[in-house]
Order: sequence, then structure tokens, then C-alpha cells
Amino acid sequence: MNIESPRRPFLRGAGLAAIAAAITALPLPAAAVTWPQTLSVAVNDTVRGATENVVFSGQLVVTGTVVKDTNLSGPRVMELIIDFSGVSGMGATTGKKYVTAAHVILHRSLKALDPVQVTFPYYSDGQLAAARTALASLAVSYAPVSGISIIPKLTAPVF
Amino acid sequence: MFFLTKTSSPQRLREAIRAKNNRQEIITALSHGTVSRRDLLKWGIFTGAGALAWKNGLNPLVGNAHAAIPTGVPFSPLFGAAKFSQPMPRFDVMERKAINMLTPAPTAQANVTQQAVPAILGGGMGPIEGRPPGPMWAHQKFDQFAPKVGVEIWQKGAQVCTDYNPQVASSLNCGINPATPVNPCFHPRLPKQAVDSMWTFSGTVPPKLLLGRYGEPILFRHHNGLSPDVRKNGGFGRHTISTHEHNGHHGAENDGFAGAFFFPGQFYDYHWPIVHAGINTINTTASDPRAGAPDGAGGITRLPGDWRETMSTHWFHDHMFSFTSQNVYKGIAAMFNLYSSLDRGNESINDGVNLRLPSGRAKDWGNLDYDVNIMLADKAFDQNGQLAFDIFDFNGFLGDVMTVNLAMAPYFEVERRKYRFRFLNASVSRFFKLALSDGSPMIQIGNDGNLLPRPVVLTELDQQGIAERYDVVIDFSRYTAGTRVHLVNLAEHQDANLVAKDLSISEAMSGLSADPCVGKFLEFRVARDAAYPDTSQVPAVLIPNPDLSAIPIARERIFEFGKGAKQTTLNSESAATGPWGIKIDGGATLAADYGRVSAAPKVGTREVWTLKNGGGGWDHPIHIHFEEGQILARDGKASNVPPWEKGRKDVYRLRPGGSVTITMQFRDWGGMFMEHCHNTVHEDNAMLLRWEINTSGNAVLVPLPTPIPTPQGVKFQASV
Repeated sequence: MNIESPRRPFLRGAGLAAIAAAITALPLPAAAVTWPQTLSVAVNDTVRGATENVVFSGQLVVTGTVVKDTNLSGPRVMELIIDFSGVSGMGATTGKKYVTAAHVILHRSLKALDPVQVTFPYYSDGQLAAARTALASLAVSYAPVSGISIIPKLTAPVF
Repeated sequence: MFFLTKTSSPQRLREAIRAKNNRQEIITALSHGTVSRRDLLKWGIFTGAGALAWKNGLNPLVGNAHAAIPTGVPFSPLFGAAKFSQPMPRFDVMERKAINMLTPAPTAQANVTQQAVPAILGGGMGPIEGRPPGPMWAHQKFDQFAPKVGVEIWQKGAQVCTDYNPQVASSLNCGINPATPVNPCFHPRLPKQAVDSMWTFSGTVPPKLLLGRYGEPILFRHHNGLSPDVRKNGGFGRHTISTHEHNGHHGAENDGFAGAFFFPGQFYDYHWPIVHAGINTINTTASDPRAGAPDGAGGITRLPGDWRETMSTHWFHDHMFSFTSQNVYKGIAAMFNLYSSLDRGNESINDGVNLRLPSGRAKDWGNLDYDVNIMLADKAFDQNGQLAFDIFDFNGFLGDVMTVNLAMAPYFEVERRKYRFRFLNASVSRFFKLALSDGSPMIQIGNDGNLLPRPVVLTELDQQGIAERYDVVIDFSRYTAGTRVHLVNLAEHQDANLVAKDLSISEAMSGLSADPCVGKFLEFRVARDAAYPDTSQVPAVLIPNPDLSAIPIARERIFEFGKGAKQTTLNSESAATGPWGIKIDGGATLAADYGRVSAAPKVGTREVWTLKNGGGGWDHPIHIHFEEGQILARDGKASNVPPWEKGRKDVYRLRPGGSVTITMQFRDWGGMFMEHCHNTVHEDNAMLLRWEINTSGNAVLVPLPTPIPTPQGVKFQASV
């Protein structure tokens, strides 16, 4: 069996538009942001699984840093450190608790709106070898004054 | 950002090829030593900042849009070679000899027996061994750790391999028959590499693997079998070599110091004692079985030293001053697995000490059945299919062809069970970020030479800088036989400065990236059920860090890695020029001179070093020789250290604009060592320094004299 399957569009156009609209509505802080900026982002999503669905909730902690290239005036980089350890899941059928200690570091080109997708593992009872994979889709918006804001969505990955 | 696309006009392609040829002439002249970098600066061909002058006909970026990948050269022709159409060869295991099989017998001091020197190297007579002579460069503790195993190898130009020894059954090597001669090529459809194009250990592929175990000192006799004619290099590469056992805990005379190189026709005896750090102060009675080695019969030979300093995955590579990038790119790189009572290379011995990591069970130690070395490197080829390189972009060199174990994008057959993969980034400047194409979890168990304190489960590994090693367990039992799953590179480069963007798995597999090395590059073919029950484990605890907190911090130092370096010594023998340099404790940013001592920690002490990136436009994987460090903080905070960096390391990625604070203890051996960026183009263009352990007991170091090798013998000059 070849496990590859058709790719899902990176972010569906309609979803992206909705996210952009939501970001536009976000209030701006009064003062310019200081980097790094750390955000706690609430998540509450169900990830479909082969054995059971898992309802995830908790706080995703994202630290963003705009890295300035002081020497080359090249494109600027947004460094995102995403800490999933504040997120846990509950098996919809078994009630089993799932945890993740995942920690992801990403370098992305600095954009006003960057749809970021990143996978992370989760498991129960310390059984690392039986870990499964979920997908976090993060709509990361950036503005020089307000810094970053994030809208997350957790789903099962389809590659 | 400019790219020369495959649909570019013929005129643009011709311009690029002409410019590439012009550059190649200059590269060739540099590699032959007929001109120096200083000459090129004087003539205005290099800018003061170190880049190739923006002149039409020299720089393909002038007057057209040319490729950044591959750097400075046209796209590589592939001669019809397709991805995943050839098997990935396992490494070729080096022969281990009884020590008395080495002739002449190894000696503590360099063997200065005289031989005739070829006229092209100046004629006359010179020593048979290129190691600097005399007591200062004698093997430290040679009698205490007398070599038990001899390894003898010749550095040679490309040739057919007729003695391939993967040390695994053909069924575990994609059906490759080791008796079949192996041509020196990256794919059966690609041309064979010429003798001047590729230089490898024994001149052959697959790449070489050495197996060693603690308590069994190795005498590694490295013969320089390259042509004495410096011009026979295919346009790049230098025929003088120095072999660095990357992160070996050995005396400096065996470290592969950049200035202790040797010439064609000579050999160099490297003495690798393979001892646990702390051998003189910790567990000196050898009572702890965790500090030990497999005894060959299922038991443990107990050894002195700190078991928490046990190392596992090393590599060794050329470290020729100013030519490391070119020589390693040409193939002077091999891997070295170290076995211990903890990391036995046997998954079935259950004695409460052995961690039983995936490996195999037939041999007492060093089973490779399910313990697979992987050397990743990006390459580029000229129009004749020969390795191509360009030195003019001082930010680094990127190839456009992904190779695994010197095979272009191969496949690898696996059984439905756990495997350990030892991933080495052997590129010149490229960073990788690995994931499986279906996003399945992997368990990282090691970082650089060492097992982590605890395993870390990941679906996307962190960026892997040049020279970093990631040991990872992948469990293929989750797949059915017949499944194909790929290893994917998520790190997209636009130039050699840094990763431009970490892609998602979907983005990387979309085929939309302009970086040819992004996406799938290794296909795992799940071939069958496990040949025998998988009894391997990934324990919850691997190797905890040594606790250095009780040792006073003798000194803190700050090293800042950046551009705009000055060369203050101007010594034509030991100094390099280039844009890159290192600033120490707020001083001037200095270009490399291996005759200058930049730090002198006292033996036995512990120090805290902060490594800072001087800019946000690039990344630097910094390698500190000899002693491993523990990362205390990233960007000043302990909480910024990710779980996979919580073990001991020897390469520290600074990240753009970032910093890393580490702690190290200096002990057991003495001499001169190095610290440098392992983007080897940065290293070769002056981002390197020498540090030296002060074993005198005095407050101030009296530096050892600096070796200046010649074919007629090594001279010494005063260090500064």
C-alpha cells in the first residue's frame, strides 16, 4: 500500500478569508511591541483518529521574534517557537488522557499574514512509541506596531 | 532573490556558463596556490567584504538572473537519473587490524625516517610521517593507552570499489551484492567521478564507517595517496590534508589541527584512546559497569571515567586550513560509531546496563542490521557530471542534488520494526529539517555524539546544521508491507546564509519550492515483516548529563561570530583573510590565524562560554573541538533550550541573531584545539580560532609553537 494520498489545499480560501477578517478585528495595543513577544493562545478542537477522536484543549504558547538582518538588508525572518505542552487531549470514546510535550521552532519569511502548518505528536501514558500525529494550522498575522496574533486550528493531518 | 530557471533563454544560460568558467579559472588558480586570496583582493576581484566583485563575465549575477542554488554554477545535469531509482548503499566498514600489522610500527613521537620528496614538491628528503616532530606533538599517554587496533587507509582519487564490506546481509542492504564492483558515481546513470574530481577514503564509495569501542585504543594511520601535483584536483580541493575526529576526546596531536596537515606520500598516525572523560578523577577504580565496553562475550569490561560522558556517533573529516569546505565536499568524510556498555550495538543483551537500542543481535557489539548510518549532503555537477564547486560566494555553497550516502535520492528497504538512524549533515552550508512524508512520529535519542538524557518524540526534527548528528528511531511496524514513505527536507534555502523558510510537510512536498533540495529525498520501502522478533527498546532514560554545578566557574568568555574581520597578524603561513571572523570579549573581530591563541582555559577548570551571532542575516553552526558542552541558555534563558538540546553537544546552531550559553570542563588531555563555524565556507574564510589548554599551572599560558608543515619537514614558528 502506498500511504501517500492527495494533498489537501494548504488553507482553504474561504477559511483564510475568515481568518483575515478575524485578525482585522483584533484590537491593537497602545505601544509598539517588544520582541520577543509571547502569546498564549487557547485551543479547543477535535482531532479525528483511527482508533478514536481526541478533543484537545489548553493553551498553546507561541513566542515570536522578528530577526533583523542588520548587515545585509535581506528579507527579515520571523522566528516562531511553539510550545504545545500546555495542550492536552481526552479520548472521545475511552476518556483516556493524551499529552504532548512538543516544542517546535520555525523560521518563516516575515509576512503580514502567514498560514503556518506544523505537525506535532501526542500520546497517552508516556507511550512515546505509540505516539500519533496531529496538525496545527496557525494563521499568524504580523503588524509592526501590534506584533503578532494567532488563530489556531488543530486537525488530523492529511498528506 | 534570483534564480536561473530551466526555461531561461539560451543567451542567459551561455552567459552563466561563461561566467562560471571564468570563475572556475580563478578557483583553479587559488586551489593550485598560484594566486592567493590576498592577490585577488589586491586586484579587485574580491571585494573588501570578501564577495566576488560585481563584474560582468565574472559574477553570473551581473547582467542576468542566475541561480543561487546551486551556488554560482549552472543547474546540475542529471543524465536521465531519476529519484528513488537506485538503492541506498550502507556504509563500507573499515578494516580493523591487529596493531602489529602496521609497518612501520607506530611510535609515540612522529616517525621522521627520511624519504625522497618528489621534485614537484620541492625535492630533497623529508619525513615519512607528517605529524610535527618532537615531544610536544608526541602521543599523550601513549603507553597508558597503547593502541590495540590498527586502521590503515589511503586518501585517494575516485576508483572502483572491489572490496565493499557493509557488514550486513544483502537483504538488509536493498539486495546489493557486495561482491559486485561499485563505481564511483552518485547514480548509475551519472558519469563516474574522475580521479581528480572525488577524493574519498580508499578512493571508493560507499562512504566509510569505522567501528570502535571504549577501552580499545585505535591507531588510525592515514596515508595521503593524493597526487603530489597540486594541479590535479579537478579545479578545486587541496592535496594536503588533516583529519579531524569530530568531537574526539583525544590529545591535540590527534585532533586534526588545521595547521598540522601532511603532504602526498606521507602518513599521519592519529592515536584515538577512546576513554570516558574524567578518566583521571571519576570512577578511577573502574567499578561502575555503566562506564564500560562490550567484552566480546556478552559481558562488560569496566573502565575508569564518567559513564555520563559516553559518546556514540562521531565522524571524521578533513580540516585542511582554508580548504576544509572543498576537501570535505570532494569526499573526505567518514563516520565513526563508538560502542560502550550502555550503547552496545546489541539489542538482545539484557543485563540492566545495555540500553538495547535498535541494532541487531548476532554479534556481541556493533550490530548494524537495524542501526543505519546516513550521510546527507547536497552536491552539484558540471556539464560532464563531475563534482562542481564555487568558492566565490563567501556565504557558502549550496548544491542542487540531494545525496544520501553519496547516492542521489535513493530508496532504502526496511523491515516492519524499529530502526536507529544516525543522520549526519555532511553538507558545506546547507541546513536540513527532516520529517516523514506522512507526518508520523520519530523518536530522537541522540544529538551530536551523544545519547540524550531522555528520548524526544517529534514529527518534525529541528533544523540540523552542518556537522550536527541526530540519532533517531523510526518504527516501521506501523506500516504494512509494500508501503512507501519518504524522508522529506523542510528547510528551504534561498542562499547559503541561513534557512529562508521552514516549510510545512505539505509545502515541502508540493514541488513548488525553488530550492531543488527541498521535498522528498529518501524513499523507505517497507519490504517485509521483521526477520526476527524486535526486542529493541527506547528506554525512558538514556544518558543523564554530568553534573558540573559543583565545579566553580573559572571564567566566562563571549565569542561573537560575524563579518568585517580584520587580520592583524598577516602571517603568510598561518593566517587567512576573509570577511568572516570572531570577536572575543568585546575586542576586535579577527580573521583566523592558527598561530594566534585566543583562549587558554586552565586544565581541570570549568568555564561558561557564550556564543553570539553577530547578525540576523545568517546562521552559524559553531563547533568547539575536544570538549563537549551543555547548553545552559539560549538567548539568555534556560527555558529557551528545547528538549532535544538538553544533552551534551559539540555543534551549537546560533540561529539568526541568537546566542547560546554553554558550560564545559577542560580535562584529561592538552594542546591546541580549534573553534569555528561549521559552515565550512565561513570557516575557510577566516571564521576560526585556536584555543589552547593551559597545563602549565601558571596563570598565563606560554603558547606551544605553531607548526608550519612542508614536504621536507615541519617547521615551527612562535605563536602569538
